[in-house]
Amino acid sequence: MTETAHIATAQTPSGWIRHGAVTWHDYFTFNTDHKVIGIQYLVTTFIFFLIGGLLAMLIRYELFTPAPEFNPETYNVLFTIHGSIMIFLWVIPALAGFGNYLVPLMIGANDMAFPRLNAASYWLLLIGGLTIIAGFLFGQANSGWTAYPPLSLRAPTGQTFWIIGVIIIGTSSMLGAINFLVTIALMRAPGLAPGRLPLFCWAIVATSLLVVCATPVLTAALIMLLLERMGGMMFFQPMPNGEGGDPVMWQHLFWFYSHPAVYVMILPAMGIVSEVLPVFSRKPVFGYKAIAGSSLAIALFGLLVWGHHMFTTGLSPWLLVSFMASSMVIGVPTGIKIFNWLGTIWGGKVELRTPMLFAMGFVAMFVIGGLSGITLGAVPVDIHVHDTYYVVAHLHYVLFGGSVFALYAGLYFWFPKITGRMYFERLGKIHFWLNFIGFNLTFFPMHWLGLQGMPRRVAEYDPQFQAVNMLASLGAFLLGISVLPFLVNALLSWAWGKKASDNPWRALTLEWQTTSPPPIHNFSAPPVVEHGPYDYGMGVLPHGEKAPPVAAPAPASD
Amino acid sequence: MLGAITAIIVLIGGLGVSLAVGFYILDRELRHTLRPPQPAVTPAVVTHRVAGPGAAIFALVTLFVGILVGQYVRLMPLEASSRAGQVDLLFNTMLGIAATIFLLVEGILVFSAFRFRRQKGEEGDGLPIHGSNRLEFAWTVIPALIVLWLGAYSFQIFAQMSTIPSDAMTVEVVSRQFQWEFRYPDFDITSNDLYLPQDKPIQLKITSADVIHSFWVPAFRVKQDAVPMHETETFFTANVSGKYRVVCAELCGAGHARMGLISYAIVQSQTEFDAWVAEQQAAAGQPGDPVALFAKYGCNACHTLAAANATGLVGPNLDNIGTNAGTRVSGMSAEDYIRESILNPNTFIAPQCPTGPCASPSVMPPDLGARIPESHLDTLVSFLLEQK
Repeated sequence: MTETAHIATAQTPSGWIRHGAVTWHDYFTFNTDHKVIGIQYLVTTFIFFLIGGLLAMLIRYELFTPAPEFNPETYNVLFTIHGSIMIFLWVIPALAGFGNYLVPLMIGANDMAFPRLNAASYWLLLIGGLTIIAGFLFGQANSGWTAYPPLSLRAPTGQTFWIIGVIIIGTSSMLGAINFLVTIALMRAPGLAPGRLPLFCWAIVATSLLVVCATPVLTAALIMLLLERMGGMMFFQPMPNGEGGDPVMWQHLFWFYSHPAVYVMILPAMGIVSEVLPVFSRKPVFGYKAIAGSSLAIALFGLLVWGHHMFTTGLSPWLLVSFMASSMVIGVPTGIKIFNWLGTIWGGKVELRTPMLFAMGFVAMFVIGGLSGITLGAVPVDIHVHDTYYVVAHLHYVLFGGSVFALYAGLYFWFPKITGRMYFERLGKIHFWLNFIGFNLTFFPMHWLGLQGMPRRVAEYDPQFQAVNMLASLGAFLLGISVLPFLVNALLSWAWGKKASDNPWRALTLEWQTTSPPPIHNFSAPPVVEHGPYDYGMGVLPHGEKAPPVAAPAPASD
Repeated sequence: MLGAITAIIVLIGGLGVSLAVGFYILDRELRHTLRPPQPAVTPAVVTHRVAGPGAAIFALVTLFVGILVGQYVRLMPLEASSRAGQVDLLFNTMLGIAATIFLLVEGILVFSAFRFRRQKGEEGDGLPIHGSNRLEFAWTVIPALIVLWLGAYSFQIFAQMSTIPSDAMTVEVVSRQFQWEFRYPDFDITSNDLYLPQDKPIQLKITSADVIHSFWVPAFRVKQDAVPMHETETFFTANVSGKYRVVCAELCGAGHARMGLISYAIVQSQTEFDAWVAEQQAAAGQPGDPVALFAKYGCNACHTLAAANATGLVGPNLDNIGTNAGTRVSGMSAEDYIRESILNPNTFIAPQCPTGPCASPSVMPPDLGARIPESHLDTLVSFLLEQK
């Protein structure tokens, strides 16, 4: 903590670098306050989410009828940029945004370990994102977010922008991960033993380890692809005489990062859910060690399963079998989390506020994605459904039903802390139900489409699939509309919402033990941790409460 | 479609039945275990009492529904190969297990949302239960055993699929943007549709001339990537006669979707297949029907041409090419322009494609000159000249 202790008020440490937000324009500066950076991340990524969502609306408009509406190249651009934005510019960095805002508060520190590095990682993200978008001016990338060569070698100039953009975003992600690891390792408040660390922080630790291990491999592969496109080198393009490169090598390198990226997108989301469920169940989290440990187990196994994206490329059968085994085993720690969350809710005093609805929605939807994931791990079934709408359904149940539901849960849950104002509860509930119904209408039917024979990434399809595609498109339009109540709610309540107290949810983690929003140095006095983060029902008084509301039962011996 | 409707009805019905039964029993159970206020009850006792007969009956009901789902819900298309039945059995086994777990999780979640709802004005906390080693052990070991068993079962089916049959007929598959070409080395013929004799083991040797494609026949449950300059293989026996779509499953460019709509796997009796082979051998070397040639060389995937029943949208519309070709380059005859455009697609880029300006460089295969016999080229050029 000593590194940042000197920063106590809004100031400019060196000329153009600012710290803390006094007025709104401080949010548009190179600012080293983790809370400003967290908000910069969340707002920027949400704007990218809206752009990616509009592209998704165009995709579903195209698929409303079997005949093509757009130029097929244009359609390929739509899903390429939709996938790239949603993964690289929304889910991964939005979760990092929560990490930025929350980790120092949750561990009782007054900033991240490396505040300037932290600001740099945000601005790199923005530059990387704009680089990808700039590709539209030069013929946008159209070879999918997976950018398999040789197709990506033949793509227009926008593909080069895409490669450079993703390299920049990956660098931003690595800088953030190192910062999180050092911060959590060295800057915890007195009394915050590892066994008292909030589960969100454990999830950030597991995620950061994955990012540090896997992202450099993607960066290396992208640089190879860039050199091949621009420098005439030959890593991936095979030649008739047996010389040249190997396109399958790209798939190994790409998925060595991009499968772990799936866990980078889900582990912090699981962390958010692990924070929300105990608060609105008024019960300790069930199996703290099991949830924290399973995050680490998922991170470890996550590095060993990339080959399940390549079951049809002609890998050796023994490789297929090993990847099948590791892919199925990773279902076990995931299941452990789900059962422990059910254990947390069970017997609690459940209050269905909007964050709780989204967190329970996460459990309900993620389990579907997890179960279809097991079927995809089985080689004989995967061979049939690989690269079909079954996979599209699966990945959206994990990334939308999972990660995005959790992001919404987090946005509502910490909205009072971040903005100092309460959101409108009824509008939040309307948002949840529209979102929940729209989501299931869109993606549940896609399982059937894939099993029946509809490949993914197609602008036209067999007319026998029209009715189900229409259903999915109508669901998608509903899902698109469901963002409106959220936007209205967020903007109106940020400006005019009821003032929030320090601890409106009566929670026990440290971020609720300071004002809403927290002061620039986070805590008026350095916090000392004397209880676990989820010791509900044990007579611990939530911050801001004067007397126990009812006679608390005698604290149980643990 | 019918399968999907059945699936939804069974799932929703199953959810309803299992929830109704489960709720009734669980709630009765809970009235005994969680009767408030009960300061005397220690957490350990509560955990064990909750997992009592009520939970067991709820689990049995979900298991029963899961078995029904696995047994009767059909989501897969027609089974037309020897491996399809096994793959579907594996899938339905997993579907049944998944349905059980799905019902258990959703049931407990929905149940908790109602049964444990905080009452208005209630301020207290729930019981401080921090976990249960017994439960952690159960929900680690039981899922681990299930996935290990599923892995072993999948491996067994995979091993059978990967066994090379002794008397297999070889067909070479060459994929390119945007066309399938099936070569029969035993008979020295090629085709755009995959003709197969019924019940004959087939070995496919698959490659690509340009980017990565993926050969997929949903009815056979067979999929194998086509990697340029590399040969992959797959084995199967088509055992139900009929006409099934050949689909490209790997994104391969602008014509990717169309590549899944232009070719078929046609399974016939051995006699019909032999007759088809003889007919193809007789036709080899003939100038050929222009419409058939237009498909044979893959023109139909990208170009619209009413006279050839082609509706491709990637490249320029050819309906009036006989007129337009003469106007594109001053001093060049329509015939020369067409011939040059077929042999060297990047010499001239047509101004307008159906949904926007044409892409440059063109995605049209540059190697057509090496593959097309002179007689076929002449037939195609004169056919295109007639399109006015």
